[in-house]
Amino acid sequence: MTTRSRLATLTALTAVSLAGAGFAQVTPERLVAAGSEEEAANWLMVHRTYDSNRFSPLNEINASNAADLSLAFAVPIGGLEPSGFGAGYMEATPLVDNGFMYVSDPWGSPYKIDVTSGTKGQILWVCDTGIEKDPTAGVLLANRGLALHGDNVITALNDGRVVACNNETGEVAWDVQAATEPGEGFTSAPLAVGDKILVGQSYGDWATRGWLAALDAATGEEVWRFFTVPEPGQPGSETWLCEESGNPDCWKTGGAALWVTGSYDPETNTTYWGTGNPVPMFDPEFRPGDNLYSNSTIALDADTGELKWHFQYTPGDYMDYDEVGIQLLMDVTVDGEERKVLSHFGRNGIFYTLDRNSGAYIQSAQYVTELNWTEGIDPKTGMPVEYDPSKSLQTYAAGVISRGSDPIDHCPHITGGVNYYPTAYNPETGIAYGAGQEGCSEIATQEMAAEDVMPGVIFLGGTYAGSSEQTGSITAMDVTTSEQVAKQNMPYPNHSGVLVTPEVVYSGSLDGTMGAYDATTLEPLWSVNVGTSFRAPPMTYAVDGKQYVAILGGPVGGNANGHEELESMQQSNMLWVFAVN
Amino acid sequence: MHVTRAAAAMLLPFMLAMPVTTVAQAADPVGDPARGKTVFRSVGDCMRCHGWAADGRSGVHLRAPPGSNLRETALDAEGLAEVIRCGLPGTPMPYHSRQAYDGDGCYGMSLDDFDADDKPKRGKTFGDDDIQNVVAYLQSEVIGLGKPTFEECTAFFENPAAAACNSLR
Repeated sequence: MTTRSRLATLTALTAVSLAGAGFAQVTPERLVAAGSEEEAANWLMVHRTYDSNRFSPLNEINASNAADLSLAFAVPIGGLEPSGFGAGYMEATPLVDNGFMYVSDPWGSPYKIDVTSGTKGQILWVCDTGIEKDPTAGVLLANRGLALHGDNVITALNDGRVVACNNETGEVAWDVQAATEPGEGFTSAPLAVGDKILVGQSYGDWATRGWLAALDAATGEEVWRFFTVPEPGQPGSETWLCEESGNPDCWKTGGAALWVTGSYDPETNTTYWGTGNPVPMFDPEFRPGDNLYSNSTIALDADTGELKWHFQYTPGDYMDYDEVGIQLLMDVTVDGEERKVLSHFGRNGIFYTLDRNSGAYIQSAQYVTELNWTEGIDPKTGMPVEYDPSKSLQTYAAGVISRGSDPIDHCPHITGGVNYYPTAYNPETGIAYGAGQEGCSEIATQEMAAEDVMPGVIFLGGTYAGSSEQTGSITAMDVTTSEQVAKQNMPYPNHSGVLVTPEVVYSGSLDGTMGAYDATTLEPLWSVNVGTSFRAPPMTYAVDGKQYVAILGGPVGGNANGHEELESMQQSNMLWVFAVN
Repeated sequence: MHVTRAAAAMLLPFMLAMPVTTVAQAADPVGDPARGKTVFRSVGDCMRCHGWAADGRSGVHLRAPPGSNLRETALDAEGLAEVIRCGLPGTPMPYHSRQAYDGDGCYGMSLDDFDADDKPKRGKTFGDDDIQNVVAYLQSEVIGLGKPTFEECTAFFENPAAAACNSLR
């Protein structure tokens, strides 16, 4: 055998031993059935199932033995290179299919990790997307996960590209520049639906315009696009009184970005996404009006992108109450009637339930401890009682900020409440869980002339600061009644979100504590501090019948929220996997 | 002297107008603008709030309180050095001298003179030489400039393709 042929043989053998251990095609049918018994060991999409319930039926780890959880293995992840805003955030949910795990780092690079041994995570490949890790880029680095479709692992990048990597080899299968305008890009996980990949333009605090696009899963070619800020003349454009502001182009930088992956109902072929705040967030006089479709749930036909309905939670917002967070789809009985509903833990501190086929408001309840921005929600319309549709500038109960006015204190904090931190729902008990921040903030307007607005650059229109101690909580809500059934308060804001299994709720903390909680009482069952900040949600999977819980940890970044002890935490991107041995 | 937030705000103009009497003057008062730019960019974390252009806007971190527009500052060299050294109590501007508030070199006050909530914040610290170097950089290359330009931006980052400059193309 010549040296060259020996090398070829060795290379082939190595490739087989590392990457060739196999993967199953992730067909559209498997994705629809992601919640079935056949897929119980897996986690095939970012929110596990199209209903975004983040519920796993795995119950080997339960309330009786969760106290025995311990570390199974850990894997360092890369992507620590900073942007102009420092090191990025680990916010992705690991996906698992048949013993292979898929995670992304803050630059969106996909990793395939063999977790079949249960004792070690072996990285098989890191897909080289060609992302330029420019240390001057004015982007807040974060990536919230990947999508599996067919033979591909798909990532959406902060530079506006969507890249498909071959599952077997990690080589790029296709690479498209989906977002082309200044400042546009992606941080949320793509959603694979049928033969399409849905991606939401994510940079909403920058001077950009939000949109959701469907790409052909085979080629990346764009099939349809829905803009979340209508252009003049389109339905909804009457809610952008740009002429009144003396800035006729204010809609072009109106925000309403989609930076958390939406849900999908196969029965009606409808996809549901939450939208971000209007931009600039603190200067409503720059963009008078209700600002549709900011701070809304939008329901779109998945084939055409046609808008079926919308529900706007905080019209004419000036408190940064994005409603990008999870859209929980559930079938429940409300007032004796079987209803197909959509529930959403609002960043504005209110837990809403809507009819998901019509968008009609059903009920709501406050879930944060302190809330002063509204006196309440109109039981007929679901709108804040202060909302006056005849006004171009709203005044909510905590007061209004305007050019030249004093700052106001409002609760919850601009961060929420529940923000992008994933929520969960246990269909067996009818209980929904939300984890988030408890506290208030002080906000003020800073006027910026229209000619000074630079497309694609951060555009807040004001300032903010925490105005109280910032803590956290997990709240359990009965979806049928909208009653709070349990609450666990925590010393730090919770930016991790929750995973729910039949008996246990899991969540991480900014201080590096990973915990398990009783799903009924939310009393702590177990915790360990591993020292990496948790801004990513936990997930669970099984290999050979054994259950594991996984979570990504990374930098705390600018999220110490006044807790000085968090500011000294150092940066390290890690995958942590726990099990009961 | 015990200083509340409101009182600190009232003191601010007075502080800025105070003569600098106790600056450590051992260092050469004429700084090096090139080194000052390096400190501004890579040591002092100044860009987080003031932005690369030092205008309080361009490249300011999403999570940072926007800093003042140094292109339009009325402070002279002594005033700039004092604010860099001591920060501005009652505002997010932190102090950058390791010796700040040790003696009476910062507004004649010590950290104990402030309410807990209003204590001057500690920023990235550096030596008196580098404080003078930052002042030299601001005076020779920043103060008096108008709106930032693409050329200025790429020169600042020493990279003609710096992503931070794309919006100025």
